Amino acid sequence: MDAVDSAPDGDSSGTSRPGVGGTDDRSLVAAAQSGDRAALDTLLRRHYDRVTNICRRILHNDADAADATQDALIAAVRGLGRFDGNAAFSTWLYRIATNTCLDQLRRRKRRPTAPLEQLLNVGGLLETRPFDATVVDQMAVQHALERMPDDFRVAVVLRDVADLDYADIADTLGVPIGTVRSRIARGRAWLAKELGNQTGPADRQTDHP
Amino acid sequence: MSPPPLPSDPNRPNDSAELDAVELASGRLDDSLSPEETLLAEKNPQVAGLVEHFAAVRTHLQTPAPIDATLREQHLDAVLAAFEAGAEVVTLDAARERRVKRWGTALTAAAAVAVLGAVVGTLVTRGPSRDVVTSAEVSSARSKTVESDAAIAAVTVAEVTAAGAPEAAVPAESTVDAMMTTSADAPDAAARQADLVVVSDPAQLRALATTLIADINAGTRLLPLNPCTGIDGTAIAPILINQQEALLVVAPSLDTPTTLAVVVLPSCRVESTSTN
Repeated sequence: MDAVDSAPDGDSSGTSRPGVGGTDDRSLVAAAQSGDRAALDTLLRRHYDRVTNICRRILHNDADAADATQDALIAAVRGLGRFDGNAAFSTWLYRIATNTCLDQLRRRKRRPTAPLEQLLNVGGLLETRPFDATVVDQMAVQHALERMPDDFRVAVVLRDVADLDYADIADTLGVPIGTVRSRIARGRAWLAKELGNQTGPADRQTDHP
Repeated sequence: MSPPPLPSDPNRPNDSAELDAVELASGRLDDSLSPEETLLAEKNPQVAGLVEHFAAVRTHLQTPAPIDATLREQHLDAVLAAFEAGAEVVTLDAARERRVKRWGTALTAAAAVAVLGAVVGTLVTRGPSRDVVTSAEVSSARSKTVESDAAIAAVTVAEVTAAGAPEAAVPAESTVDAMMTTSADAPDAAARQADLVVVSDPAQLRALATTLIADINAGTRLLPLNPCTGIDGTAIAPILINQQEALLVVAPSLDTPTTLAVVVLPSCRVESTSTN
């Protein structure tokens, strides 16, 4: 489940550049470190959509996510010379994006979230209706994410959107791996339960006459 | 994909059993279970249904909302412009060679932060029995400080950011890490064990903040876990000050660090001398 050092899903490059479009991240990073603008352009396009999606899921606000995306990319470019290739470039970049988003979260006025006790109580999940992918839309996903406490939302997003492994998430958040595992499990349970309740009222009537 | 009902186990509350199933299912989805846990998961009829639930959640999360192509191009243009114009890319070797120069910049930045309003001057000297101010009081005082020092702070912070960020693209080993191992007159064993920065005087705290901010903005240092959810600012380091564990917090943000504050743990009380 490690992030791979190549183009992630959702490559947004669109315009593949001759000579660099099919190159792996490591080669592109090396070229960019040497001042190759085209290589950097390809690298950034390759990861732009994923970074944006991470920021949207963490910040649940398109304007804030757009700002955070640009800030993260600039921070990455500034620190590119220090990237040593020990981790995948995607892992390194997504960690920078996460830190940018966490700073953004702390900067803005906090919004009310679900009480922790509510999140910890996953009782009833097994009785929750399975949700239909065609019924649950993106608004519902975002709405459910908005109501999650930051710690749990960030952990789930880093795992399921950024595709970071537990160790990377633990390192990024500064918490033990066991805590990461627990937060991800509880966060997923929360989302599954919330999304399961998004199905139409007619269906619920059928199930509970 | 309706999951099966909960097992009936009088010795175990349903919530607990369900929580176990949740963690097993989540771990199974991530392929992170140990062999023993895998056996447990296979024996638990609830897990398979939950894995399907969680996989569906993952699919939803990974489905990106449409991205504005124009906005994307604007962002990329801005980043590439920064790459060409000012965001100097420094290789590791080059960065090491410039270490001496960087120390000069760090000292300049530390001096700049020192004039920012309101920090910890007397906090360090007053000792553990000092008065405690509330978060609201600090916020109020901070606003006054920012107002009174607005002009100088705006200029100073801009200088710190401009001077500090490019140069900070250097391994942290010679900066904060060095302070953590050599700082303070005699850091006690507990502090070393807790990996806290021992702060012994205001100047050290300001210099530490400057270095940390530069490192964080450059992506070389991660933000620490902040358990104090009500703090309006960004925690940049755990510290030990007057034998008290605390967080060093900058406010209102890392981009505009006009105020430093010390937040004592575990109470999350904000302590500051900004009213003095």
